[in-house]
Amino acid sequence: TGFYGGNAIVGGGLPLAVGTALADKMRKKQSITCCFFGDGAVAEGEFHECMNLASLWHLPVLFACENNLYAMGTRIDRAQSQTDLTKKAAAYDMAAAAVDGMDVVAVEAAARKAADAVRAGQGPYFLECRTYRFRAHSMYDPELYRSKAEVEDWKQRDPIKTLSRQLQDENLLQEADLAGMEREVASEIEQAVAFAEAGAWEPLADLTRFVYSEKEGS
Amino acid sequence: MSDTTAATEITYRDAVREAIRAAMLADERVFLMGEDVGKYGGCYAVSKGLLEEFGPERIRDTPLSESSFVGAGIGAAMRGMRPIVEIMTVNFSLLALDQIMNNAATILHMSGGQFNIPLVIRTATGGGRQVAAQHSHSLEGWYAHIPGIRVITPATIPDARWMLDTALQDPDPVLIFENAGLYNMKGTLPADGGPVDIDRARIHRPGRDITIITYGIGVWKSLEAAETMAQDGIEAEVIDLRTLRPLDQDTFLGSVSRTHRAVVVDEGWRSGSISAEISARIMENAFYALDAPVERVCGVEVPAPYAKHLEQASLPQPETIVTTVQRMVASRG
Repeated sequence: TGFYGGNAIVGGGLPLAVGTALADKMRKKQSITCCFFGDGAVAEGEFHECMNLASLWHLPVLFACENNLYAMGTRIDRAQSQTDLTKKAAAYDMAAAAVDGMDVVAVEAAARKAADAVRAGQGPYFLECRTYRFRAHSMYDPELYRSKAEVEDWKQRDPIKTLSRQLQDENLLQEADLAGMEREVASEIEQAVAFAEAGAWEPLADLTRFVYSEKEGS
Repeated sequence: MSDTTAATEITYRDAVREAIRAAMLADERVFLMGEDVGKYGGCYAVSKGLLEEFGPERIRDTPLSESSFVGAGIGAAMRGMRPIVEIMTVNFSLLALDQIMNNAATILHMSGGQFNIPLVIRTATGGGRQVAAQHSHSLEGWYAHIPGIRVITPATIPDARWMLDTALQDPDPVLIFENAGLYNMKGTLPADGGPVDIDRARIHRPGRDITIITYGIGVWKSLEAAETMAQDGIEAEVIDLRTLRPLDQDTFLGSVSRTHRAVVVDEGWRSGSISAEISARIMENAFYALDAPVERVCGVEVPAPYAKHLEQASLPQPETIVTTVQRMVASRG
């Protein structure tokens, strides 16, 4: 598998991405690593260490930063001396670009360009997708740090709605097709939830499994 | 260590270098990275000459960014390499603690067994060299608190040479703590050596009167104390733990059941230490075998002093071990 999961320590996944890219480079594989993180991670020391190391070693990593303006409840201008994040990449002599993260087509084009550059052996690439989080950070978040009007403004730019509208305007998508796709997605989610709810809890005997690798045959 | 005609006299430093070199020759997935491991030749000259032999792709000098290069080691291990990451000293490992604790030790478990991390981290540990409080930590016992990693502490020349091989075969992260005070130690490397197990402690010196449980440089201080006490007819058994996680308690419990007395010698701070863990296990499993309470000779709980006489007083010494054992044996009822 090529999907290595997420990381509950903000910024903690970046060094792993540097490592997988290093392994691919050392073994002369054509693969690239793509690492996703948010604007909050940019404040971590690990971000800066990894930007430096990836650039220094010319590693095949695409750093995809989803800048949604808030690290939990702290707005970016209350946390960053420089809010144009691409400038930080530039400081590490790394190719960088920003894209309107609310525009699906623009993100696709920018991501393709970035991935192609990395694949072509041009070293790491930093892509900042400027976007927004509509929902609260978590179910415990009362959202005291931003106004409802601000959230509503951003919702007008909802990327899925915008793309649907554009496709319909250009007659590439019919209302019925869209409804069908939405039904399909809803049904897939329902089936996944039903599968999970019907599953058995893991036995207590498994509590200490996978602390260390299990020997073959055991 | 028994002498054979083909055995060689080498230093602990040379033994570690030979271990790295042999591993790199045997497996092209193995590489070494860390601060000053290349051009400089290693802070303690362990990797001297390896850059010239293996080149900068496999002997990688890193910037001073412990978190990123330790994390990169984890990522590379997940993706099929066998990295040896050198953290110059254990003091700097704290800058990589997030990666060690939150990634290396958890990813196998959090992925339900999908991703193992065959990573080896080597680091120099210990005090006694007058480099003060930020350069003298003995944190191996502290790392032994973490499930998901292995903690090994080679004390002898053969272990310095052969434990790395076994560590590199391990599918999970292994931390090797090399006491910096041992690098210059000379000893015999038997010619017929080979991969050693890292699961078991070793009785380094048999004895009937008391069990001294220790590891790393404490082995040599305890052996010196044992020889002193032997002149007074006290025969101490010295156990080299070798591995602090998982602890081989069968070896020290078996010894205590014969000697009926135990003292733990540990340069780490006393509270919440590996010595506390060992003491608890003896109490839990061998209480009725004891003729005296378990005692501990540990590092004094201060940031390591710079002044030589103060630093030496803060660390276990053969004299303090002797005094402690004599008191325990005198209480023989």
